[in-house]
Amino acid sequence: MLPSRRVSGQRSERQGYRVTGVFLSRRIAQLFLFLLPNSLLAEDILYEVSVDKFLMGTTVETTARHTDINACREALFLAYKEMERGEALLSYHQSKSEVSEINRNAGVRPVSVGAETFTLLDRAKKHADDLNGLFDVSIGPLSERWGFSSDRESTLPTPGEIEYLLPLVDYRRIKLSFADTSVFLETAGMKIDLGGIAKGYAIDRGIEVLKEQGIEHFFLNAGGDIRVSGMAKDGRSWRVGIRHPRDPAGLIASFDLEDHAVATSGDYERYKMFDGRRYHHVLDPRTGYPGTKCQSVTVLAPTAEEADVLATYLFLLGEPDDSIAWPYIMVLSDGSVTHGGFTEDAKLVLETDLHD
Amino acid sequence: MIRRDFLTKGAIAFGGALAGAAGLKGILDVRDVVGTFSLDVVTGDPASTIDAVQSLTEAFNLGQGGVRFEEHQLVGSHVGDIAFVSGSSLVDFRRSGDALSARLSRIARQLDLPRRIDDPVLLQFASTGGRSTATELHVYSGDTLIQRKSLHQNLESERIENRHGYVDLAISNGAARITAASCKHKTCVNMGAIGRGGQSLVCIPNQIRVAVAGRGLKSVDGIAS
Repeated sequence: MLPSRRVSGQRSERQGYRVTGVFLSRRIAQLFLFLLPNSLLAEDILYEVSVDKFLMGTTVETTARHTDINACREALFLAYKEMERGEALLSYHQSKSEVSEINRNAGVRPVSVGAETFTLLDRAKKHADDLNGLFDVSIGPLSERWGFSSDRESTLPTPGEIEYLLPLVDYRRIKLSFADTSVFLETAGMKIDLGGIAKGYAIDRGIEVLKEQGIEHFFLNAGGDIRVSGMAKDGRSWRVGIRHPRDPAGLIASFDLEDHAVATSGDYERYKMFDGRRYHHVLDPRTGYPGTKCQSVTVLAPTAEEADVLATYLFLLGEPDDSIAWPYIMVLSDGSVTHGGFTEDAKLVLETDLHD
Repeated sequence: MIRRDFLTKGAIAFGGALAGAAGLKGILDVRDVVGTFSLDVVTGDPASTIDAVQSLTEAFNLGQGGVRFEEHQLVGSHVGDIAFVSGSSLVDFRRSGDALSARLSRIARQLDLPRRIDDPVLLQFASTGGRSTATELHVYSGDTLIQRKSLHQNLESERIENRHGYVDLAISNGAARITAASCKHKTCVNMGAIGRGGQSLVCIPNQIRVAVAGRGLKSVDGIAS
């Protein structure tokens, strides 16, 4: 065995110290690595540490591979803390979040927020500009009325209600003041709902913490939003499947992934049938109604935030867009599958063509 | 409910449950086999326990194909102890004379096990190599493990309840499903049945999760949805 293990008895309740201890000893170990034959290195056991937690309105499941279980679980603990912090800042449902504070003051006054919320909103507006307004975080009044993201009975809005709420959705009327990092919603009744970006952002933040702590190999799945790094067991790549939108147990495709994020927008998880028609949570800011062109869209991107935003956009667009730089798989409303941007390395396997 | 389970059945039953579908073949000596293994510890001191077990797996070169680790918070009073399963047999390490058993006994003494512990954690170590059979269902309220159930039983309907609400759980043919829930969207009811290691049914509003223990053998590591 390598001398990289912590000396037993060197235990401290203080995480920082302990983690540093591991790093130091590992650094010393690295000095000796030159001298050791490779066969010895190969014997280092990689432990697969799994953690599942309720977070961000879903379950966040992470499997990380590392040589030291305690160091790994501490890194995971810190990463989950970081995601929790992001959620507390950006949540639509937590009344103490900065986003809720902005929403309460719509049409009243600008609200000064932290740099993090401010820059995320700034990016969200840029995404909206780039994506012809199909991604719009001012969707709040509509998402609230449809009620798919809260534990309320969803009822079908009347056309009059939609007509009344639709003018409140316009990201251009989210006014950002760089002088004092304040945010002002110009019209009373406007509401920011970061549902299409906050989870991706929080995942990215958590991943950063995990990597800072020296965890290189992991697979994080936050209710279907995935981010992976490094390698799975036996030196193979992590393999991701895409759920069949009409069969909970089926897959439509699978592919290998390294250091990437995957996000899906689908019509099958949060939905309700009214008069035989499916109404779901991916709302079109142009019409006020759920998008009708797709059953699901999955996007692979370097960050979960980008994947999240682009999945919503492509779902509502409902056709291939050559300006999107990342791979995607689109299941159209008739069940046909189209995809773009995959390289040979991804080993994309399409399971079947779909018919509703 | 689970509290009762752990209290009455105690440490051996808890090991027995882990021996899985193959059942308890008998108490054996570790000298012969260490292929696949699982080691479960109910403890109040996870960090020390992990250190001890990790040095044990390395000293005895257990789980060359890798070792999986999971940690679950339990509520209430439980019998803290170590259960070591080699292959599919529970090892009576306190009575066996081999070096690995001696090491396990020493770890148990260091951790002062068995003893009753309030709100302990369940630490599960298992080799990732070899065949894995999905035999056990974990039921969580929030992030706390509240029940462990065999997947190999017929359960018409059992209500899992917490301060948020309830779900009704049914088990048949080695698969579990949620038949009713107190929440409005019934997403978990629509999720169908699960029976493979790592699969789970989740009721977000009620913060109740039902998961098949282990990661199982699957063609993919995770599903984008």
